[in-house]
Amino acid sequence: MASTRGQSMCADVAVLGGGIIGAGIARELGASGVDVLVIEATGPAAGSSGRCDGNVLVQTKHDKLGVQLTLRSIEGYRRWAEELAHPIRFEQRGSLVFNTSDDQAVHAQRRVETLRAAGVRADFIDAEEVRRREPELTGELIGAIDCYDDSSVYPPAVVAALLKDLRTRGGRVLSGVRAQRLLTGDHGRVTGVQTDQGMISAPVVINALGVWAPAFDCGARAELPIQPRQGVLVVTEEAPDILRRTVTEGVYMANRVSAGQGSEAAVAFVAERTYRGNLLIGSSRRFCGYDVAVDNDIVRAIVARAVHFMPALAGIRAIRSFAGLRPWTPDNRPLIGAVNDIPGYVLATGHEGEGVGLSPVTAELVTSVVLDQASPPGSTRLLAEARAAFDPERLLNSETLNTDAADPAGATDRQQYQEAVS
Amino acid sequence: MRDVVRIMLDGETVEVPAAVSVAVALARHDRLRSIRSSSLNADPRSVFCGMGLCQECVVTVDGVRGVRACITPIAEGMQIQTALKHGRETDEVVQ
Repeated sequence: MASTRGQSMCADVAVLGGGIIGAGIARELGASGVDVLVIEATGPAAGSSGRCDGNVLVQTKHDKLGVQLTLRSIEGYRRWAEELAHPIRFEQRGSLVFNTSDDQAVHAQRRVETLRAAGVRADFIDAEEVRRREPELTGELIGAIDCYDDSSVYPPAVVAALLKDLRTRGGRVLSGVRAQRLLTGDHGRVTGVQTDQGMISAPVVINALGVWAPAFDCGARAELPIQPRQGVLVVTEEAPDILRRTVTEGVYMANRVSAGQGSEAAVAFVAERTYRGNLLIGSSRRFCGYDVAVDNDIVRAIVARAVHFMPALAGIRAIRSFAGLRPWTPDNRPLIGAVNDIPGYVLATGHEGEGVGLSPVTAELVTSVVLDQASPPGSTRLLAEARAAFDPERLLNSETLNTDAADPAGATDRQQYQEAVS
Repeated sequence: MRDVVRIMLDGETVEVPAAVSVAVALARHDRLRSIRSSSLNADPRSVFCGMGLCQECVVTVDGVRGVRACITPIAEGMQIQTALKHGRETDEVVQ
């Protein structure tokens, strides 16, 4: 199983990437009776899914679609927690996003109405009530949204549980095999995957390689417009009594979209209580390629900001820190769906910081694409809307144009072509 | 340099060789099998990696909690408290 050398393996669907996105897709397809083969270059959750926090937060989503899809993912995790034999540490403790300016607070009060309209359970609470619910959050703040639907999981455990379940259904997981190139036949139709250890035949190939998705050679089309955006997390010793639920500084939401665009890190305070009682304290966003070395200045900035809002953290020991990479896209939406001119090639990547938050719903979307199903009853509109919003073609096309524009030779060629045909 | 130092282990005065780690001192006084309890359940925890990484062997030393027994040298008069929730119950309470 470890090697494919000298033989050709076959599957209905090859899923590239054994992270939380690939594992979710593979398990849901496997549960639908599809013969699935996962091709993972290193090991399950060895990439971003093992270098992240476990937050699944509804209230930090910017638009109604994001809110509804995250809410649906939480129900997906609840279902996985019941169906999977291995524990995924699903917990629904709610979360606070607190405001430090009057503007933010006014915005938050409006936001609560939007959340409630989408069926989310949430309240706007004043500073006094914030301190009653999170006594150690004593830094200056005006109020907060407590969103009772917000949840968390332990991502490496989710991946392990999904792949274990997949195997019990006859699915296969190849660890230590690197997918290199898409193989196509007549009319560009997918026939399989070239790996570093041989060829795998499959009529459907799903690229769930996260930040590494652009490195997979799919031939004709432009490079995927995905860039790794690094985040650092600081882990503390067990301190279960200091925090009850995830707390997030209001400015975090703005940072996700606008800040951290350059190599300078944007830092916003987030703290998650893990199931063991250790805290994960973040967050940072910056572009620095595929580097996962921890910058001590960022650690210091994260810790200083955390202590500013929760002074009691000064007495808690940090035991380690790590950095992970988010697969960022130019419009802050993932790429989920089929690639038009390569029949059988499906993308499921570009989730930025939402891979954990959207794994169950991504699995649902991709399953419906692969099985060519109409969406399940009762959710047709939501999933159809998601498929339209996440359709990879929107960025593949614009990227093609951008690449041309950035490449003088390409622009010249196009100009000459346009002159020739006009 | 003396060959033996006296320390307080869970309130009891004991002698241990000088120049050993806190973990070794615990081992010589029958504490190594259960230095503390898991925060998830009552499972006993002890030295695992032995090189300061895993954080499993933390004890309270001279009032400072979270000290890694495996990489902390013993010193004369040191006060060490383990935190097993059952068996040798101590006064040490986190927070």
